[in-house]
Amino acid sequence: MEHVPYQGGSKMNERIKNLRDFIFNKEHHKFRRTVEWNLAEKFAAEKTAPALRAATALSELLKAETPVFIPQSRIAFVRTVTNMPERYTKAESQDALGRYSYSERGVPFNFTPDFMSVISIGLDAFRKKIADRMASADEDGKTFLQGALISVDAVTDLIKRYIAEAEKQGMTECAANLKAVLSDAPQTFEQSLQLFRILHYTLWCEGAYHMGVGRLDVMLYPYYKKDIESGIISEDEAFELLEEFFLTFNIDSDFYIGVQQGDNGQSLMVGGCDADGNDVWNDLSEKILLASCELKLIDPKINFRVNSKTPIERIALGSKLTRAGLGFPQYSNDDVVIPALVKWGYSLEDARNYSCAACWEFLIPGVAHELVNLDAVSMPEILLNTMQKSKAETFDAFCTEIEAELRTKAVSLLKKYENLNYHVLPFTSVINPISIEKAQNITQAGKYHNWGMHCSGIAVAADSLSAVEKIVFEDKNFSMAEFCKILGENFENSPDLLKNVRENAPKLGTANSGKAVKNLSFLTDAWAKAWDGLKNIQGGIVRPGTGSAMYYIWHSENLSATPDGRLKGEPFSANYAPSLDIPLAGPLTVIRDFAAPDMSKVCNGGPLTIELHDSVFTADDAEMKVAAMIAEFIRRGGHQLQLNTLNSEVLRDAQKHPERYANLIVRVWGWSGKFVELDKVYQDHIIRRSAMSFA
Amino acid sequence: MSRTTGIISEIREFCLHDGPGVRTTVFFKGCPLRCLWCHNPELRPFGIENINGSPCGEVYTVEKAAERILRDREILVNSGGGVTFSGGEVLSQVDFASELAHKLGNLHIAVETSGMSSRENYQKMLDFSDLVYQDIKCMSSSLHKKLTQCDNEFILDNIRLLQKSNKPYIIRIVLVPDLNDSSRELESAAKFLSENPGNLQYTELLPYHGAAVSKLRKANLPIPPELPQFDGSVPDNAKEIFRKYDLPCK
Repeated sequence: MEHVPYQGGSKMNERIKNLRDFIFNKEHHKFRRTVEWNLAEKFAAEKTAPALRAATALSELLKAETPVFIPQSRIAFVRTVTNMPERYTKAESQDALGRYSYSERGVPFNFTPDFMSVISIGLDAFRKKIADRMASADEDGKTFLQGALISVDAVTDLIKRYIAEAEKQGMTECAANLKAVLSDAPQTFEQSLQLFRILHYTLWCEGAYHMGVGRLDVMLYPYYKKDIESGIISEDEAFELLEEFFLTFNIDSDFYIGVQQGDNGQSLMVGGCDADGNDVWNDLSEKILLASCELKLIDPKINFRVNSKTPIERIALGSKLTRAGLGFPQYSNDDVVIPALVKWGYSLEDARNYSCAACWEFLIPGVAHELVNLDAVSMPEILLNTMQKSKAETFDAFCTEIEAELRTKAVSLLKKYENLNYHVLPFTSVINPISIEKAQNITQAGKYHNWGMHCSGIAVAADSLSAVEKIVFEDKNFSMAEFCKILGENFENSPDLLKNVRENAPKLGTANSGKAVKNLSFLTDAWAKAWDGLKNIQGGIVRPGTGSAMYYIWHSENLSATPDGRLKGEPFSANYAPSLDIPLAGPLTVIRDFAAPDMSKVCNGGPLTIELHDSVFTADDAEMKVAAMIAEFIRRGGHQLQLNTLNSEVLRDAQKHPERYANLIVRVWGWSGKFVELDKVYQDHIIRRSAMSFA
Repeated sequence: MSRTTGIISEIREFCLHDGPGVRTTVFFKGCPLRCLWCHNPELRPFGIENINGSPCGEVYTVEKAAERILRDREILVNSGGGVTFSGGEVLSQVDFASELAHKLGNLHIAVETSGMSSRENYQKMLDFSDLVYQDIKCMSSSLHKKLTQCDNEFILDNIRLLQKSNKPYIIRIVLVPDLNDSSRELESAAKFLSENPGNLQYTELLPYHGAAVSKLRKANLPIPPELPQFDGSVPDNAKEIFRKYDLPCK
């Protein structure tokens, strides 16, 4: 029988609407207060072990929390304390920074733990598992696990206080659910969502950040199915609970760490396959897309695993969400990603279970903590440096010089992180069974220790390399030294050359892209080759990727002009996308060009990003037509795709009248945020991208 | 031009508004009509002319055009789409279009036409098309002449041919405020179509866009004083008129 998609997600339930309004209007901020902390000094004086510092800090923070409820809510836990206790004094932090390098804040971050390892057994059994392992652990292991136990006890204490408050307020159902998750494993869909919320909430309270949600449809489907089949809840009730659960990701998110508001890594994955390769799609997967579509929230950010066999009607549900203008779902192609992960040494079973980090990086939830976005290389800078030093007489020789420059950069980046160290977060760690088993921080205990490095501006680099190929090596109009001088002068004395490279040099995504596509393949291959055989200090490999994070701004701000006609300081395109301000032939050309390289070699993550004008969705069957475009991307071997639905006039107006566009959501680099909350440099970049959108 | 070469202003990929599925739209250069509200005025001339310093139009061989279109064959076929011949006026280069259509094999072909050509040419077009978007500018002969500088006798005759052919077709009428949107005009069109609707899928009534003014300006053409500068809308009763004649209307 033909599957009829769930129809309930077309009219928002009154209760959900009220919850959404309450959160949108920040009414819960009235519950908040600031606390004066002085734990770090005490820790320093007593030389407290790192695991116990983290546990005590978490425990004190949770003790300071006041149980409060958003009116009409059923899923509890709201942050009320605005500031977190420091674990180290300034002097200690300075000292550590002198001896070690850290990735960002040095704590476990930007990964997805194994929530089900707790949800499937309940907090009591979870505590017992830690305590049992502690008995046979060595000294360090004992301290680490003791930290975990203190943390679990702090969580259960807060749950108890929430129960008391719920009972006081007559919220009997909520109190009953909290009681249920306190002792046993969740029995219902609602209880599983409640415990999920508690765990996710606590991770952030401990200091972990960019915490992904993972494969929610796989994890919670058994609870959903059981409740639906036994008649405990209807489909509409399940949908409503799911919506409320999604709202919880937006309650405390302004506390979360990120480069911009919205950059908080709450990524959720739907679809894909199980360990045996079977399609996992279920009714909950569908409802996740529909709930996100209806709520129109920044969080959670939806990722969607697809492959060449994914039914087009299912992809069209993704298009429906794209139409909502949130900048997601982001699609990842299992046909490319799974083999790439296996080639990098992941077991097939783990590779099939992949999810997504904060933005794009593919990771295996619950088995490892990998620094998937450790750093990035500016591809245009590599090209410019090579040009400066070049002795090449042929284009092939020049390409060999680029490979050498990339290798040197790779080696130097590894050197930069040879003293890499991590801070210990016992609670975040033990949500991964391997961390309990090894009685170690997840950063050490994990099954894999690979790092990810991205590259910014690869399209600018490919276009520039094509300009060099044509001008220096084919037409021989200028020598390499002369071209370098012109770039140094920002083309100021060479307007004809500037016009020529802008209008006539091959560029990715345009009608004249042939040479640029060849050079893009060269650059992706060279980027992969640069890391061949290199090991990081944890014994893992480095996975090259094509994401740019915020580097498309940071790396370009002070970079001189590039051979493609980009002037000094002009931004690169974000991620893996055509250069800005060029006449694109259309999305199919863009897809063909950017899917041409062997993407499995540079599969750390980093999506092809395509902007669609919102008028696309005025066409008949527009969702199916956009789905056909996504299917074409999959068929051509692209690895990851992010689609933005934009309207440049609306964006310009929003910049002028931010007060009218409080809820206008846009995709920034690997996450969606509220347009009016972004710094102007990011707003301007999105407006430039929108001018290139396909109608 | 000839059977083997034609002038095309653009082959545009991923067109979603020109028929079923994902389509590639070919804009043939040259049109005999001079509709006041023309949205592609730069495509009126039959030759390649410079507009604002850039040539408008390019000579294509059948092979070159076919290769460009077939590059996206998979998505066109997989999405239930195909190619749409638009313009300008495809009938003005019908031999070239016919050869190109032949070269495209069994790809679904839609045409967007004013119908302004000989019966013979129209028949040639019908022979290769799978779906026809047929414009009606207006029904009154004198008004047609005033609004397009051409008589509509050939056009109406060709629409009768289209109806007899049993090809699926869609009638498109752009309603320009105070120029062709009177009830009398619409009643007349509905009556004409209902005499022998043939394989009419539906009639699509489209609101006029004031952007026509800026298009003319961009093409360095005079702006007729009677052309509205604002966006129009489909009059409330317009669809009812067609439905009264049992004609589906969008």
